[in-house]
Amino acid sequence: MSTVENIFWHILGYAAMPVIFLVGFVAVAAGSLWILSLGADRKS
Amino acid sequence: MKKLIKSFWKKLSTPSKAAAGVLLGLGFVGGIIFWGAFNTGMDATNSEAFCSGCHAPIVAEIRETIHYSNRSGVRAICSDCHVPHGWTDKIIRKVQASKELVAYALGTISTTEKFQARRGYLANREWQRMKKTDSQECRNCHDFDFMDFSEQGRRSVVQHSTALASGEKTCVDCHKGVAHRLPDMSGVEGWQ
Repeated sequence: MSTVENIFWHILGYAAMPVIFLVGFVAVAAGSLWILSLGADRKS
Repeated sequence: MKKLIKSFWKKLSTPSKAAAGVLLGLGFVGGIIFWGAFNTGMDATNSEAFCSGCHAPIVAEIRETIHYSNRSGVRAICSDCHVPHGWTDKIIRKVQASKELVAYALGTISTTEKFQARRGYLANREWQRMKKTDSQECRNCHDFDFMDFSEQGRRSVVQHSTALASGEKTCVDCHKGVAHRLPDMSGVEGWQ
């Protein structure tokens, strides 16, 4: 693997980490909001 | 889509009627479930069955080597040697492996013949990667500091106590083909 290719994959790899955390947050938030909408936050 | 994001943001920025404990509990449990699912997915892509999906011929070759069957019953699977064990390096390798999905879609090694024609290139790429990391994946199990030279052959003792000890050479410089058959080695340094 060339140095340029190595740098490219490292940048993409490191960029993937915040994406993983962000997607995790959004998924957990969406799930939690849905559960809340069934109970405490149900529109009366 | 914009509407969906707006509605999601509105819900996120509006205080809930639920108790703080419930909200924290949902976040805590949700976090565990997400992280568990993510790591299960990562583990699934580290399994021998997953690797065999494309690399079946080479996965079968390990059965003839000491890394598969030996007197102590310890064995290595594909990911033990080909995927870094540290989380950060593992993610980088997994992202890099997304390139291999293109090869899968194009059928680059979809037949034994295609695979055999490409194995020299694939092996070379892997040797280079291991050389760059000072054979990190070998060293996850084989620790130089605990090598008992009295148990090694004369040639191994000479090489390990000089070239390996000084860092001039790394494991993969000599130990090629320890889990697979070697490709055509013409042009490979040290194998002329």
